Amino acid sequence: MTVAELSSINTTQTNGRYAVELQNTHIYYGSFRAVKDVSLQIERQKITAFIGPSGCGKSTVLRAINRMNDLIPGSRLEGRILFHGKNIYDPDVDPVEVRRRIGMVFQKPNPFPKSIYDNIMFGPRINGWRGTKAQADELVERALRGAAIWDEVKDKLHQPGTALSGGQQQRLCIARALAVQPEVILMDEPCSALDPISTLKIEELMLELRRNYTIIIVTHNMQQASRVSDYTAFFLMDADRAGQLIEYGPTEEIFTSPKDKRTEDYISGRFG
Amino acid sequence: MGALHSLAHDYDYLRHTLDAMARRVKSALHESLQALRRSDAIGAKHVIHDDPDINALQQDVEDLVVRFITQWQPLLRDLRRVLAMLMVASELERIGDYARQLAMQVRRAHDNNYPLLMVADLAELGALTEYILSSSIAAFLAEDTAAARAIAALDDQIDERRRAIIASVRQAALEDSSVFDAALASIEIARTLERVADRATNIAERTVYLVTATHEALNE
Repeated sequence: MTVAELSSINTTQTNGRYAVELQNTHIYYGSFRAVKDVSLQIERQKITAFIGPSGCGKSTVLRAINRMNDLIPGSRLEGRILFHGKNIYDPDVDPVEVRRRIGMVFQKPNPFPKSIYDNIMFGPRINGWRGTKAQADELVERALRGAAIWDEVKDKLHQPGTALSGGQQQRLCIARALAVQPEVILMDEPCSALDPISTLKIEELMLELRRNYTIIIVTHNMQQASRVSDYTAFFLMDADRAGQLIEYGPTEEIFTSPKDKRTEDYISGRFG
Repeated sequence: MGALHSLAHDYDYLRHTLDAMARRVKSALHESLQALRRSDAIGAKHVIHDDPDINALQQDVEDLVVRFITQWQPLLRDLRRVLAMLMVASELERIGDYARQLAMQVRRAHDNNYPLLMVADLAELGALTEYILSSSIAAFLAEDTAAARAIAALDDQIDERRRAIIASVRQAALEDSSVFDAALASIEIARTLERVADRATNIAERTVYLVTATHEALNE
């Protein structure tokens, strides 16, 4: 079984230099419009940071990119989100397939109450893994190496993932996401529960992962956004409390001379 | 350290300290020029003696900037502002040194009994230099880019006057070798004043960068 055979998304098609493209996206929770008219092109193999005050819709937009919001009753999306030229909200697209191709790492590390080994194999198994034990061992090692945690856990692969430190758990979760070979990794404040050293390890890992993956990160840490990201998108809620994209551009520009006064005020800590 | 103030409060305190330092430097330059005009060895001695106070104020600015960055992690204009303050403090410290060098020239001329040459012209050059220094400090503190850019034009006048003074002094020394020491001292004073104006123009450049985030060379 290959990815292409399973897929409702034709991987031979691309969005050109963009991994993901949001076109006039509006997101609703029931009658409340949480996000208003966001259009955004996410460059392939780059790190894009979403910043903005709490409630500005940045996490909602992030979760829309792998249809995580589908799990919230009453949530609805207008507009299009293109992945390989295909709108992931088309009726013939399987959201589980979308989430395999576009992985996610959360604020709080959430390893399953299983061994480190089984945490990694969980995704491949539910996706119908049919390899040999040796192939599984290799996959586990590759995923753990990819998340820069192999050396720390190679002698305790059968111990529970929950026994690791917070920073190690977060890298285990990244390894778990890598195990199903995604193209895009969404990270929702992945370091906000970590100490500074663990945070730096995750940031170094992100820069390493950028060679092969597209990363989108939501962060409240301005220094982190300026350290790791190539592009930055600034969101803010409007008078109706709907999140809007205010400014989007190369991080270097956003963090030296933003065009919008609201971006400057937010980054300088004037509000939010 | 530790007691929480607002960012604005901490910034005001920093600005106040830099302003105090700028006032000390301006007055050191003023007094050394006064001593030059009056050939006043006692006035010159005051300037020489006061220099350590200026150095201490520079260290205060540096400590406050480090503390400000540690506590507030400023970004964008807030960051450029405090970094610019650090650099301006260093320019001011150098200007303080130049004021001291001027005073030492005046005292040496007095002690060795040689009257300096072209004192009126040097005093005029000094007055223009003082004006450039005051204007650039005012432009910096007000973050006024128009005023900062206007300072660049004055820099050409400094060059012209300095050149004219050196040419005349050189001529005088060629004609009469007994004024040789006085001529050397006068040339040194003209050059020192030009350096003060250069440093002051750097402060104006810092002002433009702090506001626009782009580098503009004002004294080409």
